[in-house]
Amino acid sequence: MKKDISFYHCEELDAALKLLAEDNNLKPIAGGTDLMVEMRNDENFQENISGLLDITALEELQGITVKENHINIGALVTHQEIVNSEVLQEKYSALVAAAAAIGSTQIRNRGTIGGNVCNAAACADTLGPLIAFEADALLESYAGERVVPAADLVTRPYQTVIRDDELLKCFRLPLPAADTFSNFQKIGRRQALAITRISLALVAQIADGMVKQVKVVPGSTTPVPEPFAGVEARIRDRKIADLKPAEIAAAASEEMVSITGERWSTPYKKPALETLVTRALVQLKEVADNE
Amino acid sequence: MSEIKVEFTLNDNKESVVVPAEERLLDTLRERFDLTGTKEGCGVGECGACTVILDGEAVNSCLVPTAQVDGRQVRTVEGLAEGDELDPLQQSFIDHQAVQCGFCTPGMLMSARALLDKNTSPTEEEIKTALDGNLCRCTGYKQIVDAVEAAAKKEERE
Ligand code: FES
Ligand code: FES
Repeated sequence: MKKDISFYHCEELDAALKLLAEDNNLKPIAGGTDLMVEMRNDENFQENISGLLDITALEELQGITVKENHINIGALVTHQEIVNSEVLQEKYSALVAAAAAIGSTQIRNRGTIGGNVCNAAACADTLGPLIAFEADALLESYAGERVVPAADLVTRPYQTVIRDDELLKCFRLPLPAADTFSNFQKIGRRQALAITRISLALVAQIADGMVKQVKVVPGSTTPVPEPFAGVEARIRDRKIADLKPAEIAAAASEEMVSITGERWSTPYKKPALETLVTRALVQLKEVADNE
Repeated sequence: MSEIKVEFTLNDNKESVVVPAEERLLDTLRERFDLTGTKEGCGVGECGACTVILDGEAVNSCLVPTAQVDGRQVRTVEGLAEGDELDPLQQSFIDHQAVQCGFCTPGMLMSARALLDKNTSPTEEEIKTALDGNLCRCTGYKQIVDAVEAAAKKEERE
């Protein structure tokens, strides 16, 4: 017999935060696409929580809002809402592509960007693009709010800096400069086949045929997605026409190995990452050619 | 104390149940309402056999806690036909031999229904995307996609 757990449904953010402050064994639930699987797979899951806190009705966590210099994406925004959003398609296409590549229609309809990141699996596909777009995460607790860069949110697989009494409210993405190219690549689509689902987010600001700023964030290649500074240095302040995709791709896989060391999966991951880097750069060159 | 009262609309009928916090919508439908058309395949959101329509969207009922559907609309495969009249999708699946063992069929139908309710003339690509969370181990997807395409055309004409 499994332990009884309680279920709270909150309409007000304050009420939800108060509950979390009083009981840090309460588990927030939104779309449930990860949590319900965990609950099924982990015999002790129910033993370790006191109850579920349904946060789906919290308005402050919903919707995509355009502000003067940034855009807010609520933690409860589903992958499908991201895919359907015109402003995201226009300005953050790498994020849209990452959301479109997640799971299946049913999962995209329920799964949220907040859940994807909070769950912090190495394959949380949306985190790479969020880091590449230099998003900040707004965390709120009963005691107050704090802002954490998306790049610092996940500390190791399945572990974030979000405290038990905090909720992720939204991501705040600065508006990209006018000539920004963004691209998302991924290998391995179905979760059923997912040993690893390597991905890559590349965001480049271009002007006069040059790359001004660039972020390159591979996913599922390192314990936590992080920008590959060495690769970025080989792209930044260079003429796009002079970029050599194969060379930069080789540097990317070396940078990966320098972070992770040689592992059983390295012989697979190296060519996979190289393929993605090459594809992204070839597309960057095509876009530049057409300007 | 951990029994939660849930009131929702199920295939156009107002219903009310009391469930434990962790109960899955899939089990509520099958065990409490005897709606066994909704199938359990994988239980972890991979196969789509348990697909139902929740407020207009196709979802995996194995991943939805029943406690979350309070005040919402749920439609299952049993809610497709009207009396003796099959939904055009159901008829089209028969006509196109898109059913073999039938285990995946309720889920396929619900994913397709959710699509056609929003998009009356989907492209083949859109149909494939709508069915990307539904696995079939017998039929081959061509007949299924053809069946959805034909049903869409038929519904458009009417
Ligand atoms: S049983 Fe729900 S997706 Fe397989
Ligand atoms: S008809 Fe048997 S699984 Fe699809």
